[in-house]
Amino acid sequence: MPVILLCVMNTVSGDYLDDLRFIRRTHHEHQIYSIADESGYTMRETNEARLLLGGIVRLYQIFVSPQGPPGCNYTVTCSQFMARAVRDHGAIHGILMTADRLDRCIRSARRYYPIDPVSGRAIDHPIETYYLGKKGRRLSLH
Amino acid sequence: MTILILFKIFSLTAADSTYADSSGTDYYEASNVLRFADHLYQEKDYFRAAGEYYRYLFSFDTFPPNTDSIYYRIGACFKKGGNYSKASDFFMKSAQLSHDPSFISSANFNISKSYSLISNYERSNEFIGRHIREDDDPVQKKMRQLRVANYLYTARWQQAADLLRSEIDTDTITNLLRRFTNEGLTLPHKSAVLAGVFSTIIPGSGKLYTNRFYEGMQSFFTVGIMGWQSCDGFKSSGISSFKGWAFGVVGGLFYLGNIYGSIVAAEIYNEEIENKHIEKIRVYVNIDIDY
Repeated sequence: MPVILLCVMNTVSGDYLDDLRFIRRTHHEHQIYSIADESGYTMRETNEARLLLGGIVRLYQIFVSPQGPPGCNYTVTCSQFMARAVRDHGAIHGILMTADRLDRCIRSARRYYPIDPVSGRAIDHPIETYYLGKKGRRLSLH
Repeated sequence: MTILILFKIFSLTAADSTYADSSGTDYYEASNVLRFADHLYQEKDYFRAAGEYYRYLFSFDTFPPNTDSIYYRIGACFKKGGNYSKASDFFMKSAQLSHDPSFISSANFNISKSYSLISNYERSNEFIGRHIREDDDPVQKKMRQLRVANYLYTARWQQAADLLRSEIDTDTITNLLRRFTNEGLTLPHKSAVLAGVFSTIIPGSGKLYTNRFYEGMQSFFTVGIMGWQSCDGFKSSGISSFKGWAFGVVGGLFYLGNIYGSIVAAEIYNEEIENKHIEKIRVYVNIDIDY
């Protein structure tokens, strides 16, 4: 039951709601396939593990994170990082990428990144940069 | 009121016609339009100059014999103005219309340079490959240099070195390209495999290897403390210890994440030093290779 609740919560919130709208707009059969449109948007095949992990992150974002002051050192916060990493690269890669990210999320490590002058947080590389299976260059040449 | 407005209109019309009469110049005559366009180009008002060159072309019933040269100038305007995509289109048109080999050669150089300026290095090199000749023509020499620079901009040091091996020129830019290519070949890269192995043996050491001291220390202490707590739990409550399993699983994930992150950090480190080197090349080379 909690698993189903988490999946449903995750499904009706945040990025997944946009995904569902996108699917309804493009695929009348409401099937979840790999879809790529001209804008480069890719809808990957989802599964229970991804939904479950996404749901846990969403619960954390709704109930746990607001209890304290903003503590993450990066502009794409660690919870957002995990949600996107799991969604885009699957549960295994997502968890490992998040573990690495949490290791990096310390104040003294901010010196390795540019700082956002508005929020004062470190600007991390795009999430795809940390995906081990990435083909080609990780950083842009320009 | 009406009379006042009519008087105003009349006086303006009269003033305009008086001015036209007194100067005796037809500003819309083709040669004057061309002169004005050249003037705007000299004044670095490139986009307006391009518009005037256009106006010049359309002041004839059919395209004039110097259309190729006008297209070239429009291309030069767009190139100087920073619209490289349009610039390449106009250089292409001028090259197609012209029959003068040296003119075509310099148009071709500008096409490949425009592709390079919009970071389409592959296309630039492909275009150069189709139009390059091995002779002492200065434009051809510039094209060869641009081809090497395109390889350098995409961090393909070996291909640049292969091209430079057959290059006999020893001018400043070629020597500069040689120097940058050699530096690119000997950039101090870090091995991703070694970083992974280091982190497997001692958590965090892979990050230390990639010059990320604080991240490495964080990994070391996180994995170390979790491992210690896990052992402590198993020691006190045996194999069924909740504390032991909880810290063990989380610590294990951090351990694996640290290996994963170290491999990626080594690759990022390599690309960062390549990018720094490329930035240096851009500063020294980009402006010089032009025609």
